[in-house]
Amino acid sequence: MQPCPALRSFFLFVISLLLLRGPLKSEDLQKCEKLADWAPASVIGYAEAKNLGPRLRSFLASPKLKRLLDSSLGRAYLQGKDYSELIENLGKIEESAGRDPLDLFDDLLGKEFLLGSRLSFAGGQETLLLTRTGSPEAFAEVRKAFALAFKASTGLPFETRKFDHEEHSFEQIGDLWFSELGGILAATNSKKLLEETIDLAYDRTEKSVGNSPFFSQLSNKDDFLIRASVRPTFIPLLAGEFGRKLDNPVQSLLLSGFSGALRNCKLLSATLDSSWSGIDLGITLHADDRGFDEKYAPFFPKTPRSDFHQNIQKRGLLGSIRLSRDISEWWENSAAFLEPQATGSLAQFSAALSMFFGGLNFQDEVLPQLGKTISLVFRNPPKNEGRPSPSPSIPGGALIIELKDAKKFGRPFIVAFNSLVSILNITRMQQDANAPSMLVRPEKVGKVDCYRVDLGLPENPENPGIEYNFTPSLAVTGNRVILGSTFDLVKALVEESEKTGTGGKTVVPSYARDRIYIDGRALASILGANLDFLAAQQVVNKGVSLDEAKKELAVIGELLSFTRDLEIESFREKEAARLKLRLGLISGNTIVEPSD
Amino acid sequence: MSAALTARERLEPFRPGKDGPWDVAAAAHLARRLTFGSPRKLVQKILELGPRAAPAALLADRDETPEMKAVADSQRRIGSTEAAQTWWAHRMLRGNSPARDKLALFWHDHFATSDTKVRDARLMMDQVQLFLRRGPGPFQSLLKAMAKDPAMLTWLDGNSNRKGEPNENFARELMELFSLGVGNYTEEDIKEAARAFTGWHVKNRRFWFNRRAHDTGPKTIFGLTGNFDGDDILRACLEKRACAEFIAEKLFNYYLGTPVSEELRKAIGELYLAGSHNIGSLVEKLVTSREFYSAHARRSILSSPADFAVGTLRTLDATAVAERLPKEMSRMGMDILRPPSVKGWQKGRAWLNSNTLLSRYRFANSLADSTESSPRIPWDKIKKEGAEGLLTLFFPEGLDAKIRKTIIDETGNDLKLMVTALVELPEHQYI
Repeated sequence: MQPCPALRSFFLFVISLLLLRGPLKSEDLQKCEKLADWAPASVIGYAEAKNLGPRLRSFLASPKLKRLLDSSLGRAYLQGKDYSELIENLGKIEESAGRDPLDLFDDLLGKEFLLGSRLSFAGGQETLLLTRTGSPEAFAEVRKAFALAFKASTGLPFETRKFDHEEHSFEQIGDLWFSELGGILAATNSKKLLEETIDLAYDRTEKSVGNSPFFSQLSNKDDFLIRASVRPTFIPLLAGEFGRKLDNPVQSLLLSGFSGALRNCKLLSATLDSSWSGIDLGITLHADDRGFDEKYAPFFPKTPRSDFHQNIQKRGLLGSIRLSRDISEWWENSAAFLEPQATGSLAQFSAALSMFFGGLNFQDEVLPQLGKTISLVFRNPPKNEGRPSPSPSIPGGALIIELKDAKKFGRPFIVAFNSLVSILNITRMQQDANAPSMLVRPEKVGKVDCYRVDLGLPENPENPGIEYNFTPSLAVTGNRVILGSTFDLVKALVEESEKTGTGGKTVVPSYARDRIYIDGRALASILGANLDFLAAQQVVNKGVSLDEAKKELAVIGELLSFTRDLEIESFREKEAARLKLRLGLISGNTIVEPSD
Repeated sequence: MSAALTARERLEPFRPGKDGPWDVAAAAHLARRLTFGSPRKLVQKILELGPRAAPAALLADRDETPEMKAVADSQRRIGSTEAAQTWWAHRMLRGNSPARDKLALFWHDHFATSDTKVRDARLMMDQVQLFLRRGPGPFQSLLKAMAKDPAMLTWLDGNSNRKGEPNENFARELMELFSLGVGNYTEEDIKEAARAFTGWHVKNRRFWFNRRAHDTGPKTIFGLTGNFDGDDILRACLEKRACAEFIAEKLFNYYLGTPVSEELRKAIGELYLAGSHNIGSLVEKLVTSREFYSAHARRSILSSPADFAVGTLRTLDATAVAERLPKEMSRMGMDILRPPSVKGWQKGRAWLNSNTLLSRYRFANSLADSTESSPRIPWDKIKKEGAEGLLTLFFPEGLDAKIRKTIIDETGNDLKLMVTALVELPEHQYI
């Protein structure tokens, strides 16, 4: 079988790196502390990785990997085509190079490497790879292995042209220029780029990425497996999207802030880190010298810290979404973020909502009373003692709107709630004169008046259906309006709100964090509770058989058994906007029981 | 054949060999009429059972499969009209008793209850379950159950039928549409019958006899006077000869579709009465008759959207997204669980107009699509059998030579294109 072209090119590239050990003027060569110090500052972006080799070995040697491979997903992978191709390719590498592919990887890329890129004057792309190899002995071993591999895979002798730059020799084969710089291998498709790298290695210039004002904002403390940094203004298609006006108000409320932050962004960096406890992805947008455009301030408001959200998390939520925006200011300046037709639809929406708020003008009288944080929380339904639970079992959801002063302004929300129920009753009656009316019943939770809607459903049914999941309720407590799909959830939130109070440990405002959180175990639990229902839905929605549907769901359940939680946060930090995603994994062999 | 035979002879059992061959074409004809479509496996099974045993076997009561039970349970719990429609579409497509579903569809059209007014999909599902369970049994039992069915009582305003202010809706439809037919009762009979049904109400989604609202006074129905209640009226309707002929003729039209003469109407009525009002028994006799297998009975019924859509998918052994099927049928003019009026759907040529025909074509085109929501057809199996196999699958009785040549020439070896072309053929619009 012919080796694939990609594999051949890889060998050619790597071997060319390793075979060359030209005479060095080592007395002038600097010690390389960071690879970024030897990458020319003219690159528009680069990626760097550290300790890939040890992490890969640790992953492969871990007994925890066995659990993963023992799962049905793992078994499917081991029996699949991808796995057999991987084993076949690794075997080919070992056979031709005479070395364990892992050892080769460890010596070549496993310690640290940097891959940078810049635009050439001709409009092409110039790429530079810097990699820190192991000891000279290890290097010699790798070289030998690849010399064999090259011959085995190409059947050609390895012949290069030799050049000098300020008495440091380097070589060329095809489009590839490369040199060894005292344990660091530099390879590029541009002779000029290689010469600049050699100059940096000999300290003839200081124009390195490490000293670049563009890249200087990158933290040296960040823990990461891989980090990529790019100057976004050099990405033409992306640059055109920054700060663009949107035609959807909800989209604007969610995204215009980040989109605007990118407009003044001089550096975008992304880091990826992983361990057995989770996978972390971080994206940071660093503003340029002009700093953050304050036009986008409504998307990054400062709010006093409160323990409320942390405390309700402890009550076993399935998930939550927290959004902090100065909606009133955003609405006021919506023309700056939205297309004209979308601002028109906002005005119509405002007029419609005014009807519910007892005639108060939504934009001018309701919005200014809103606080800066809106949250949506979800919790699995509690188990019904002694009576059948509704099926499907739908998690309760609640919208928490913060107000500047709920005592003064809570009333219009109660009016709006009652108006909505009345309108729904009238609509139902118009369609069916015998339809039961929904009644709003006041109910006390501590000292707080809650309003709970009785849907008029028959009591104690044998097989309660989907509608038995809902007892829409409203409460005004502290500085919060809570509108929930179930009374249980509203009650729990009211209790927590009363306990926490309106403030927190500190009232010093700081930039608020938008956050999405999903609890893996709660998700697995609700999936387990609805397994039969969901399988049947798969049958009618996807046309699969019941057995196939159950198998698909079992795979999702198995995936969830590895997942502790998923957390996404976005926030402003000084003159940078950050996005963090963390997928928490359940480590060890713990068998997770479904939680409520 | 029919011109030379008397009505009774036309209804006599089909004799393979003497009256015609018992072959794949005959078995496929029975499959199309008694169920939906003519899937190869079913046709083979019918062929083996023979014309006498096959109808009884197909109409037999079977336990639901775990998949059918799971879907019924989940859709009932959702409780929306769309969920109920999806449940029934899934049953028709993947259920294990399509003959019962086909008969249930007949009763759904006959009693024509619509969720647009009932507004309780679970009650609609209960009604369809009633059709599935009692549809092949004695008509008396079905009619009595329907008179107390909560969906029916809601549909025909049972709760507003009170002593002193009778609502005639149910009584009128009972006589005109459910049992006797126009001309077999008087306006006075309807008024008096309505009084007998006063107090037949729905409470908590169940039948409730509201004594306070019931008119206990004497009533005169069909010339007889007595202190009649609803059950007495139902009995009186069922005892009339007109009821036997009315129901039997409707079933004859549904399964056979050939013209009914006065003589034939009487003969079918006798067949019905001979079977003690048992619907399953009558259907079996009708579809084993010489008339059923006669040349003029074949491909003589313009397919309903359910026959067309479900039948095509079943013939192709396709798995489809059941959720989409009711929407497809609705575009073709049949919004199941939502018949257009108390008279049910207009049938025959009324199924086809410029809109519904285009919807049928669009459905035919979707068969060759490979989007996630399009039906999954076992193309490998179809490819194995080739163009000939496909032609025989859809038209085991053969296809006009010219049409056949055009189809083969125009579609080449593209079997997907051929499926679309065959499903769009005028011949395929008939069952």
